[in-house]
Amino acid sequence: MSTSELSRGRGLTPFFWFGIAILVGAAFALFMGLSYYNTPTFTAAALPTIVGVAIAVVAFLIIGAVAPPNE
Amino acid sequence: MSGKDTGPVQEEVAEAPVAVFEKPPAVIQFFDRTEEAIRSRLAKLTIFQRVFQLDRDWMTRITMLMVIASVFWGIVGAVDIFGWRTQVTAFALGQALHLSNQEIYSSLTLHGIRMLFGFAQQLEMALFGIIFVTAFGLTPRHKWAYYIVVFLFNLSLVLMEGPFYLYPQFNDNYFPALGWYFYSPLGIRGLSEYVASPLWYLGWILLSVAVIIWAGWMIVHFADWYRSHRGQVRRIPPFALFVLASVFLIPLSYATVLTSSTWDLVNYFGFGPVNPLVNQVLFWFFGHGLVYILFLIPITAFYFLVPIFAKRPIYSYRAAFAAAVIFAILTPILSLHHLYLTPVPPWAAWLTMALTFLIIIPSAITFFTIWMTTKGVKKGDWQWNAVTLFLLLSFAGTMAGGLTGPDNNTLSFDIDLHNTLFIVSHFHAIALLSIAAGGFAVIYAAFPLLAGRLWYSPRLAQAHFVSTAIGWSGLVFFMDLLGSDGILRRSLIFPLTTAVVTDQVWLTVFVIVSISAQLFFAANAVLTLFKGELLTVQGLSLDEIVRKMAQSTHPKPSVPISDEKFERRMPRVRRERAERIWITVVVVLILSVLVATTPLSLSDSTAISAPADPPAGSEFLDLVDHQYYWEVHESGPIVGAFSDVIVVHAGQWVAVNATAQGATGGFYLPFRNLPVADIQVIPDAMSYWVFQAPPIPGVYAAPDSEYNGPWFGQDVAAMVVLPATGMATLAAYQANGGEGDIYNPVVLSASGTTLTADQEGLFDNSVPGPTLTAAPGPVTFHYLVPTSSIGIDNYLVNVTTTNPNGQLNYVASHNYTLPYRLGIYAINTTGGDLLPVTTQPLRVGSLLNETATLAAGVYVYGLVTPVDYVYNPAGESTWMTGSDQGQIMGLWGILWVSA
Repeated sequence: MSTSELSRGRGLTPFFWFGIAILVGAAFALFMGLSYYNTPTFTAAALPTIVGVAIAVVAFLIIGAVAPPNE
Repeated sequence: MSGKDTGPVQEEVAEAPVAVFEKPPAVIQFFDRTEEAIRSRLAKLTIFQRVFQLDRDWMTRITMLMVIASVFWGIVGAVDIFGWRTQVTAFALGQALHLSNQEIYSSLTLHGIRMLFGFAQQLEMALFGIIFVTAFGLTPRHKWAYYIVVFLFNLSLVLMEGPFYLYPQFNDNYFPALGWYFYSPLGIRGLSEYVASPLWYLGWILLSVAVIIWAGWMIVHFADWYRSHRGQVRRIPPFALFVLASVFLIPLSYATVLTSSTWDLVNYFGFGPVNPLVNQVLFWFFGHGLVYILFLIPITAFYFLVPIFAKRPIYSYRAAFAAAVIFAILTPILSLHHLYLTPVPPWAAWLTMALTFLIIIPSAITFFTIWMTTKGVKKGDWQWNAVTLFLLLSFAGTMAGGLTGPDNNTLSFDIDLHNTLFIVSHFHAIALLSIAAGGFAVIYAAFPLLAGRLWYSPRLAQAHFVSTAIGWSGLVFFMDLLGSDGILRRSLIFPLTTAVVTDQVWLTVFVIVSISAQLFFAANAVLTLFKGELLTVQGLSLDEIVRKMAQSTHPKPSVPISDEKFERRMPRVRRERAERIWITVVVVLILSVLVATTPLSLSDSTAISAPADPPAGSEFLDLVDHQYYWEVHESGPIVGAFSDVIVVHAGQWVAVNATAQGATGGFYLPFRNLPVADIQVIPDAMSYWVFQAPPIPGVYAAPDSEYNGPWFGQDVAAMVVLPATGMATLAAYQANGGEGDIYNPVVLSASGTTLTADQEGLFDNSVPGPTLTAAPGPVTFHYLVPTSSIGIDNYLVNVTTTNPNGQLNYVASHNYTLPYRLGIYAINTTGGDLLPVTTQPLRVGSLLNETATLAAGVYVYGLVTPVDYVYNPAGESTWMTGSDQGQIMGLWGILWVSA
């Protein structure tokens, strides 16, 4: 196997890495929102939105994982 | 521009309509000849030929000029923020500030202007223009219209900078200190204490005109293409849908700021009606539009570049089309989500909240579509070069910034976030990690086309990516930490807790890393222009050219650049079903969140926009936020008129009626143990709020949350919460952490304390100054206003000069005595002003003893009335330069006397 063939075989797919990018970005956004957890209005004012975002991210990853590929 | 009348318009691809005249008008011919004469001369010099591509076609030349100009403004904008950060860090570390407040806030203002417009908007216009023309195979025309756009655009930025004097001495102190978004009437002569140069508003008008002309130029060329491709609209490449969306949005958005800026200029010269709230609503139709216009840079980058590197088409064209249409429809109508905490009608605020949630949909479509476009690409078929790495960073960055958008958009949550560094973190995550990262992906993919040469150094490209990713991520992270503590944006004066100081220093470190990282890019670009391998494109498709250019950023590219035949195997039905399932989930979540957050959001908006009926026994506050102190009139159980002091009882309900004079302010109580109070107060409008005072007696800081001029930081009120009966100590208040209000002043025992003034005219770098405690009886503490605190624009000395010793010379010539009195004043809760107990002249450079025998109660110490200050360096303020004055109260604090 040539060097270039070896290098082409290493690593993970771009789909995987863009998925990681989504996770990292979403984690930071959720961290930013959750930093207000100790405010008295958090449950009513902030939590629904933060939960909605979190569910959306999970749904995004699941649907993307099971969706047909771009072939 | 020349051509013959050849009869009917030809139907062939990329044929422009036939010109009406046989040759261009005489004036155009003159300009063409002049341009050619200059070009041909300069092209003989290698440096001009390479940098400005003078031997290329005019579109390439002007695009290169725009790219260079945008880089120039980006560099200057970076220097601006370096200036701001050095002063903020100096304040954090207790060091001397070397710039005046006006200069410091000018740095911040011009940073925003130069980065958003000089850099980002201009770069978008440059890249969208050339990519559009190239991808559609168009012959660009109306050259001089394009040249005029570039000229007016860059001239507008020079005008916005404001005037400076070269004679009789250099004086650059009149740069605008408004903030990049400037709330009417801040800066308007006759209405605001801080007056900007009229050139600021003229600059905005020219900017709007230039950008609208550019959009018109793009529309003309799209019309050319459309006429020659009638019936083939479906074949518009996906990325072009978003270019067209930006072209659609630009006239709609910039027309509103053209209107609001013209209105401002009319008011500036004393004409026309004044309505700051309506003006601000108009402005934010632009302000929000701008954000999405720039956000379409990375969106376009994804749709353009990801299919190229995946070597397969976009996952769903229909989804992309829908996303572009929804972006275009919703973006222009979301102004009010920047004004949630103003007295706009609650139904309008709620409707905007709902529509803003809906604009999540096109982003959701886009990121799903782009992600799915890569599904099935083998790891060995994808090259991680600078282009794809910046795309990856932009993908993550859009998540990081974009997913905090819903937080900001939830009105009831926005109360906690508004005007804090959380917001700044959000939009820098978008501006840098999303927009700029996407922009760099396009630049790395397109610059060789402009330069005619491949990138010189893959290693420099890699170093640029790594250092930029680290710098921007760190910068956003530390902004967020500060914001979630409650630290306000545009804060030059802030609490000097260990955590805040540490975060401010790290933020500055990452700003420096971010700026330094761009040196790798700049070096690579210059080396490319002069030493890059010539780019040959013969026989290559556009996609292959892009891959070839991107490959030059990888040290050992291993993926062939050639197009691969792609046979669609996955039916559209199945792919679109996945898209539909995803969007259905998004819509359901949006509706759920909307339902869950509506009650509190509507309640909060109603509370701001209309007076409530508070419980019996409430305290009524009539507040007017001046530049730069709060005028307080109280009625109810406590009656009084104060400056910067609010007096309530523990647990008492407080009803606020608030307005402002001269500029918009914000009434802000950044509690963490209690609900935050955070409302915008606007001249000629009334804002309301009802809240319950803390149950624990103490002194709570209420900083003005909305920037209102260069002494914004001194504009802080103290809410004195008295016990219901008697006079408790502050032990419970301290144990409780002051309800988590980070701006609360520290508590010190009066005995043995020396309050030392700083160059911002504050005691111990704090406003209010430290809260002093003492037992009833004789109370002694000291003041010191050192000569070292007298600098170039300390408001205590009403002399402004470019001479660094000017203020001190004035003080010395007046026997080191300023025309103010320091003292102790009793708070009278039954009406009238503060009652003086003891006063003395304010002397500079001497330790002043403050001694009085005091009964239990709360007192105000220091300089308890606002000081008139006129900032007029070298006496050169005129109607053209603007002027700056205000009433500032900073050298004061609360004395708490209890057994």
